[in-house]
Amino acid sequence: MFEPTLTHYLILAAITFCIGVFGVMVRRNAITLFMCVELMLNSVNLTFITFSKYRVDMDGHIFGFFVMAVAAAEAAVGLAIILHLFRHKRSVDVERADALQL
Amino acid sequence: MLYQDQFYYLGLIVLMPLIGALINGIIGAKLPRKFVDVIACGSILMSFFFSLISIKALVENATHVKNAEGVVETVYGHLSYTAYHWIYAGDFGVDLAFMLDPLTSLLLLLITGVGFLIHLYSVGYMADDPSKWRYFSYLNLFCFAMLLLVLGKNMLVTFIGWEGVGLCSYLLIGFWYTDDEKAAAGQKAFIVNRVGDFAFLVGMFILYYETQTLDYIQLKEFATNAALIQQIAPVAWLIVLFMFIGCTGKSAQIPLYVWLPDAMAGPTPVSALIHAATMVTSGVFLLSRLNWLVTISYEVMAVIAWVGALTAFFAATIAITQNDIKKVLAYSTVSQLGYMFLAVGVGSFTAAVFHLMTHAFFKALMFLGSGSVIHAMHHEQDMRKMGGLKKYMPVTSKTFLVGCLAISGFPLFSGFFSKDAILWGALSNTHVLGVVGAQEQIGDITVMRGEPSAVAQILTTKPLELISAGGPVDVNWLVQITSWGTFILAVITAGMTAFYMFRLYFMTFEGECRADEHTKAHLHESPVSMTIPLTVLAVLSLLGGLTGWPHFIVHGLHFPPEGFGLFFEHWFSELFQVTNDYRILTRFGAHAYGWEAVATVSGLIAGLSGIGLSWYMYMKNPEIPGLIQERIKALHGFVQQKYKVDEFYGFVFVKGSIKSGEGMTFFDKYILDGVLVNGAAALMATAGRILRHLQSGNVQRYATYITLGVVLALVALMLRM
Amino acid sequence: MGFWESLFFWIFAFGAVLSSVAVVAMRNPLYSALALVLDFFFFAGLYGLLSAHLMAITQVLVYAGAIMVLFLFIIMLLNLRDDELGQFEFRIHHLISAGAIGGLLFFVATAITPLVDMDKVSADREEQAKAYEASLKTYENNLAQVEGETDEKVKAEKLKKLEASKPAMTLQSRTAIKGPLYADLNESGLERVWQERLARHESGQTAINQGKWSRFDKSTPMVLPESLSGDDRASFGTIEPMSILIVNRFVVPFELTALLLLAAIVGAVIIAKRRL
Repeated sequence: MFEPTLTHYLILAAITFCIGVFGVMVRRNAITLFMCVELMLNSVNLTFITFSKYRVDMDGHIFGFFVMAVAAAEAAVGLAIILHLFRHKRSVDVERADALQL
Repeated sequence: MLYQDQFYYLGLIVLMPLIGALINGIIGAKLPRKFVDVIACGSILMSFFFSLISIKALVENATHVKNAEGVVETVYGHLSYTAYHWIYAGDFGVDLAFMLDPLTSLLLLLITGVGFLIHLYSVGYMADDPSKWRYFSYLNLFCFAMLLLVLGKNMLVTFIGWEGVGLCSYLLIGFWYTDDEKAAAGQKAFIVNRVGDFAFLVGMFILYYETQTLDYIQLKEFATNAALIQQIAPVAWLIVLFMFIGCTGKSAQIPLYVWLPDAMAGPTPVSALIHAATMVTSGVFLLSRLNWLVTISYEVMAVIAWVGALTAFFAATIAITQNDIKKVLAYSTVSQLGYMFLAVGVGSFTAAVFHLMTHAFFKALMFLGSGSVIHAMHHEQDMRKMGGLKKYMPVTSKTFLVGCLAISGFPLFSGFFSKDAILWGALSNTHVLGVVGAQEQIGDITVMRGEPSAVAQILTTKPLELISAGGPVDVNWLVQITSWGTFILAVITAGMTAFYMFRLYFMTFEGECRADEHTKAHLHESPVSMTIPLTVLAVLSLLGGLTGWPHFIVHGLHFPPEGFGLFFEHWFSELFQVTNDYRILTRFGAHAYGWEAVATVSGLIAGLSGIGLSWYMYMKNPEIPGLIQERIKALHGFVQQKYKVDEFYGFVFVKGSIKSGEGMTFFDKYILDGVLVNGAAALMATAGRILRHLQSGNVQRYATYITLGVVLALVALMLRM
Repeated sequence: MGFWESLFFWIFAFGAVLSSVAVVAMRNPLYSALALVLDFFFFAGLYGLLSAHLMAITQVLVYAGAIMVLFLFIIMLLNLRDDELGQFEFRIHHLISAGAIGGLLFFVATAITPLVDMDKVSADREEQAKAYEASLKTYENNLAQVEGETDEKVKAEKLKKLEASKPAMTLQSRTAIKGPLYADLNESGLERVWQERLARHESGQTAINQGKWSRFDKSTPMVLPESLSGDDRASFGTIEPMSILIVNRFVVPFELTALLLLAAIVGAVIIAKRRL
């Protein structure tokens, strides 16, 4: 029971993923919302690496690696968008950005 | 030593023209014009050298094995190169891989060798064109696609090439796109080709579905394995039929040949390279590559043979009536391609490939020659305004004469040998299943309870009983009709070919010059870069056939020595082994030299009488053609307008779709629009008024909807389980 | 797996969950960011436990080091005052969200849990072992039959055919997961897989993963480092096999990632610039 198996890791990843999704749904601060997305990405990475270990196949590591690269790109663009949003609205509340335009 | 299965020169062969195309296509406009020429010709020349190196390696890699009768056979095998594991998803895997075997090596030499000559020729021909760089970029790109087609190790790579050459053909036919007619010709070629490509794709899908592989080497294991052939035999006819429809598109056979004559709108060197020497023969190449599959179903082979023979015949009749020098050559090409498919249909794959080669030589020669004439005549293509050009253009006229003699089957010219091989194949070949009693004779020996079906057994067992008897065999009615019918059609076509070719020669180069004074004053021989390819191709047309003598001469007279006289057959023996050893028989028996001589002599007589008639009508008594034309005005007009096939297609397919479209308009306007669309719109408007509150623009609500959707999907999944 | 590994797993797991909750719950994004950094460290620890050493290092260097610094930088740049952060106000929307999350977690958990039905797994194992032994027996019988063949040529041919049908030992758990899952989903099963691989390697047989390392070159014999043939347990997850994978089999996706990063940089510059 206390010895971690595949299931433990997967459940853990599921929990953190759901926390991330919850954050995306309820937090109105764009930056926090963004951090929750990072949290989701990380839990997915955890599942990749877990499967990688239990299949004795390093493809999962590579996928995790690419997810990190994509996360970096996404952070760069996303934060630029937040900066832009802040300049126009003087706020980072996503509820005030509901017109799909600036 | 390079690995036999990692022979990277094959990749370089393909890469060179691509690099050339990219350089010329991207920065060609800014380069000096000389540079463009050098890059285009140089890249093909490099490709040619790499091809030579690769073929040398193929020959060196060959092994010599003694077969059952104690004769030493050379097994060339193949070299291959896997550049990249392109797709792999589950069990399905396709590599970007290339393969070199005897068949590919011939095509390689044609594409890069003749291709280089044509590039060289284009330097002179396109010297004044402002967008020469674009032309050379397309031409190199074409060579790239064509090399991909012939070098592909699996069918998907071949298919990329197949689509690629279609694209380049479209680009080059419509090269002068400001002329609406030429642009339309390009579109016509592309669309007609697409019809064929679709069939090719369907054939490929069925083949993959049945065999789970597209790799030619793996596919070939199906050829002689009774258990595997049984699995594929029931659908082989369907696959081959679809593949053949694909080939009729690319190789301009009935019913999809209509694009090729219009394709003459492109620059003449393009016609020589794409629409005579290489692209249009890719159908023959494909069926030869899959010869073991084609020969499974002899009914489909009969269809191919008849389509080939009829195409050859009808295209020849049209060619007789045309006055445009390039149109004559275009229909002649369709006709000669028909010959190749006839050879494929009767199982003489060696003859088909042999004719492919010689045709590439002499037809490229004649297209380039006509280009030279058109160049000198200031883009005048009507033969009635030419004549007597011999004294202005000595090199062109002499080389053109060589080409005419070759295509007419004049003895010792290349066309003589290849056409003779096809005639002999049509007359004598029979499929093993077409032999009366074959099923009983072979079937009884091997078929046992629980073993593969009788047909599969026959297809994978050498017909030893039939061969060892050595004598003639009885064949069923289908083979009888196909044999005699296609043979007679082919002989008549040979006569007509000689006739219209010399008609063209006499009208263009002999007699009085009918051009106007202005053109006459500027008549000149073409520059050296154009005459050198002509000369080289003339030599090839003259000597190219000497590697494939008829058997009765080689075996009967013992001259020339077998190794040389039957070189072509030996070179391909391994490739067509399945066909020759298991599927196709000579129905007159093993050493029917008399019948073979009949085939040769009838072809020869037809050719010579065609030349003679042409001389009589166009040199001796030039008024006769006009008289005949008067007498059979209606028929002549009908044939001259290409049997109105274009009009027929236009009426049935184009008009037909317009008319049915009009019918549908009514339905659309009142039923679809009135009831369904407007009714639905009203419903939607009402629903939208209510539901639009859901679309708040708030990102987080959307995120919640997505999550709820996922949960619902999961619930559905759970309920289903 | 020993006591210490189990202990560390639970520490990291609880730490990860708690800091994740903190990321969502903190009112000030600055604290959220710091909680996230902590979270990333816990994740890195988990990666380490999963013997993904390189990933653990990258997690700390790239995620916690680079990306989070970017976040903090933006937070500082915006410098939100306390009244700009907004107050928490309860809405129906939050309840719906919580319900959705609960449902999601419930269904995912019910999907995951039966994966480690150890009884089923071991029953599967036994069944497969039996099938393997049966087919091996048939193979040996056939072999004996062929050995008795007198004609050399026929014999060679038949041997060749037989060789192709030689049964291979497959180690698969037919659980809900598609494809091969080489371990029994826990440490002892994993241990057995490694031992089997080692034995196979020592007897000179091809490793399971051989041939798929390179996307360019499958057919030529390529001298792989031992770690790459999947037989060296010590180097699993280290930089050596990782780098060879990236520059061979995954080189095109890797190059495309480079392109993606370039596009992202250009995009970020264009978006963030005040005036172009």
